Amino acid sequence: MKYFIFIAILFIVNLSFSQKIKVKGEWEKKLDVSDINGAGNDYNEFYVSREDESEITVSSNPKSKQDDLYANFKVFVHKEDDEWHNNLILQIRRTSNGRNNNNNIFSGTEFQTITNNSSFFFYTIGKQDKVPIQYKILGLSVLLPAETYSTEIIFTVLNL
Amino acid sequence: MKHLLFILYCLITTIVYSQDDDDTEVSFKLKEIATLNIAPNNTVVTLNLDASNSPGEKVKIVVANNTKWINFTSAISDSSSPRNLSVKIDDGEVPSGLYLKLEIANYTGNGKGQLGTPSKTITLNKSSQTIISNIGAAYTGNGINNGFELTYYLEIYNYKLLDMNNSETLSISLTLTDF
Repeated sequence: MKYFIFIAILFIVNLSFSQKIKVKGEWEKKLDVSDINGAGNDYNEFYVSREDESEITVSSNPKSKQDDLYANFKVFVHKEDDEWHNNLILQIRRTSNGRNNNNNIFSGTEFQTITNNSSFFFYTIGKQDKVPIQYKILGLSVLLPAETYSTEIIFTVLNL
Repeated sequence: MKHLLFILYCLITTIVYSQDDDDTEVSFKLKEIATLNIAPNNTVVTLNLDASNSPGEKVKIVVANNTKWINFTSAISDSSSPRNLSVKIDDGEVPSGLYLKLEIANYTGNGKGQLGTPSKTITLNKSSQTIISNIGAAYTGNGINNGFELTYYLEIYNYKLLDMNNSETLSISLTLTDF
């Protein structure tokens, strides 16, 4: 019984220090003849999405005022390909802080390549609400087979 | 001691499971493309016969701006067949006694991909004729000195049929097509 209570307490502690991440917004781009700057040319070297194509919210879970103010959240990113081509390079950056005016957010403002291995993206002390995310794609070419290329972007938040 | 180990175990478990994931998707839909352009422009090619002043001398063929460059961009799927570039006289008649010929040079320029194989020389008529075959995913580069240089010229096959007072304007079309 003592152990049960002890486990229960630790479980509650565990919950109180956990966190959640929510991502909204997908980037879908279609390229056709209107994207060719004159017959004889290839597509542009790269394309960028809107500056807020996706938005990431990082917060405590369950909601805790203290954790939303002081907890350290580290966000990582990687991709899992559905249909992809080795020539394609996908990059990501955050274009601003979250909308809740928490300036304690660091890194992630320069484009970095998303690989299939998890890599550090940004770090925040306290909650971030709707951090705007921009993507950049390099390597699109008429030389690639004309089809749809897609990949899943996975964001992972750790409470450190 | 046992209690301490248990606490440590629970803390490690806490750390291991203290993460959350969410995902989104990015996708790029590349459409099939077949687009071409004449460089430097599609202005008129002028080919004239100049009657000799001296009896017995050959008629001179005078040309002006008789070369053009063809630029194209071709994007195809893996399941699609390669393309051909064909040419035909859309409108007008070649004056009697003359052939209108088209010479297609080998590719030059800054392009890449499966640019196709040119025919060397053809005689233009109202039927569509392939001048570059087996074009895959490729781009030739844009403007003059990129792509395939086309040279139009006249060839006299029967002097008796020549009418030196005749003048014809022809409309010639180039088409990039699937097999």
